Amino acid sequence: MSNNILEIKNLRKSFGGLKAVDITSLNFERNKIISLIGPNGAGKTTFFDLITGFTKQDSGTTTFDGKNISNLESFKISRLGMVRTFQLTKVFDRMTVNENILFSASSLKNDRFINSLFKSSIKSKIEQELNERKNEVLNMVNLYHMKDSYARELSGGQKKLLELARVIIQKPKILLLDEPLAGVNPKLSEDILSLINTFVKEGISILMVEHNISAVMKVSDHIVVLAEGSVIAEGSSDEIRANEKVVSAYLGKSNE
Amino acid sequence: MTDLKRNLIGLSLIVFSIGSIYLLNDEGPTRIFINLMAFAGIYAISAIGLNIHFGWTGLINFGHAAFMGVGAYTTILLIPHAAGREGSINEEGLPLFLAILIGLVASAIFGLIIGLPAIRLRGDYLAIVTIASSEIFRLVVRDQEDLTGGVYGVISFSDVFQDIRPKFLEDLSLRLDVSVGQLWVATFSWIMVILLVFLLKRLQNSPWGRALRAVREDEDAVRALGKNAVWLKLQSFMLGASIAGLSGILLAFNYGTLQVEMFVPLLTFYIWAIMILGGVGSISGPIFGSILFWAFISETDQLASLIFENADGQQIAGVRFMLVGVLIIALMILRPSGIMGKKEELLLDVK
Repeated sequence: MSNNILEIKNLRKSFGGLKAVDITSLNFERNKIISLIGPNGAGKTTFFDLITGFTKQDSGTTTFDGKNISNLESFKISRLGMVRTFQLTKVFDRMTVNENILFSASSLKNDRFINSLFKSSIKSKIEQELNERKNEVLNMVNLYHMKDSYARELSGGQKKLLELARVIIQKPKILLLDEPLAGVNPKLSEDILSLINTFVKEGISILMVEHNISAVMKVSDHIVVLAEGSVIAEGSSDEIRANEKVVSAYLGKSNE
Repeated sequence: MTDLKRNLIGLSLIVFSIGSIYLLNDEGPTRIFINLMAFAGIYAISAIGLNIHFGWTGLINFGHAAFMGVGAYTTILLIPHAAGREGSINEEGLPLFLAILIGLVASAIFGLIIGLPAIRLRGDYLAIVTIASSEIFRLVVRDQEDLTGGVYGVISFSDVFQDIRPKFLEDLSLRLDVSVGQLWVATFSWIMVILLVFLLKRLQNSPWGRALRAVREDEDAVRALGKNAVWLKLQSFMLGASIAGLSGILLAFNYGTLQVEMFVPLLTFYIWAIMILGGVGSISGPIFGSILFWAFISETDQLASLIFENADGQQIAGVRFMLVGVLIIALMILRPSGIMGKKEELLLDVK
């Protein structure tokens, strides 16, 4: 098994005349926190959309955990163990916190129409087991007291936590987080970062897009800098700090 | 608001509106009541199907009448009937329940055929495709006279349905002074409503029902979590379509004739009105909504003729629908989530 969880070759996408993403080669190591930074419009979210199958790529190969996943449908990619979150939190507003997580945890077999008709109700044995796992996860993100509330009643930060709980219950191999700290207060940012650290310890690789540079510098094992759709630099936080191209493209004149 | 309170409000509205029938009509109120219950049951079934589409899955289906029509035409043409200009008689036919089963499957397949290309569309675009498909269905049926009887319709098919009617209904109909045929349609429809409620209660609290609601809330998130949103939507479309098919079959038996003009878009919008009145997303909503809708249709007739003494039938029909409009507006202001809907799951504040 290769040490890279994700290998990207010649990934290209343009919208009309605009070259959104043009990456010749990019590899992500297993079991690390890797951050993707770059100015607005650098193609970070498009990059996420491309590798998770939400947008069709023009060309290129993406290999995830030894499998070629280019042009695979998004839900199939997710089932292989590459799960993403969104820049704007997408919780199921008019479902309870419980239902949000149970839906994610439930297996495809359990979800089947025929199964639901004859065997599994929310009182079935499978659902009881899911329920236990769900409670563990809810305790981990500190949302247990909200379990019966509708998701739309949660605060912005709590929605972020719910989204994290919802993906982590699937025990993915790699987690793609799109701005997990956007609009979150400093205290909660700390909590989310420590959660991310826990995930890595459990063997989950993390790839995140984030604008909070000090947080990125603190937690990342590896940083990739995108500008105008291409990789302009990658390396450890010290290397990135010292890189002049990055400083001028993104960080501005001040270094911190 | 608690479930108990919701049920009480719904029940008292129904008791009030049915009571009014007996107050407003001096002659044969029971006949009017049975007629009302037959239609209310049939439309409730259809609204239950639509509720699976819109209330559970968030699919905007404006072609519901066609799903009812496909079920009705398939079943009726498979049992003994007479069709077309000459009323050519077809005495051969499949057993009733087999024909009904095939009708339900046909509706589901029709749902699948419309759904496959259209279901990837979101919101309003699906609405346009479904309303167009429903008109295509209606025009094709009208055109294919050899097969469907065209504008002349299909008649003389009710016997097989009336043959299975239990004996005691005949005594009952004599005592109540109502048509035994319609009494049987009403009874059968309400048995179906009750069966559907059990089925839906089971499905709503199942992992499958939960998945449908997730699709309603956010399709992208559903896909990102590894679930096939398109297939879930197609399944919802097929289930709702086949329930609508059942309603169409019963509608044909209730009229005793099958005319293509029964399945105009107006029918679709009646079903929508019923679902919204009753409460989108709730199981009992369409049932309460349907009884109320039909009670109101029946009473506004009387009311309009009380208010406008010299009005003729056509004018009264016009006033009646104005009053129905007023009812829906009043209800939307007073109870925007419908009679049985939950405020937390209010679906009409589409973002």
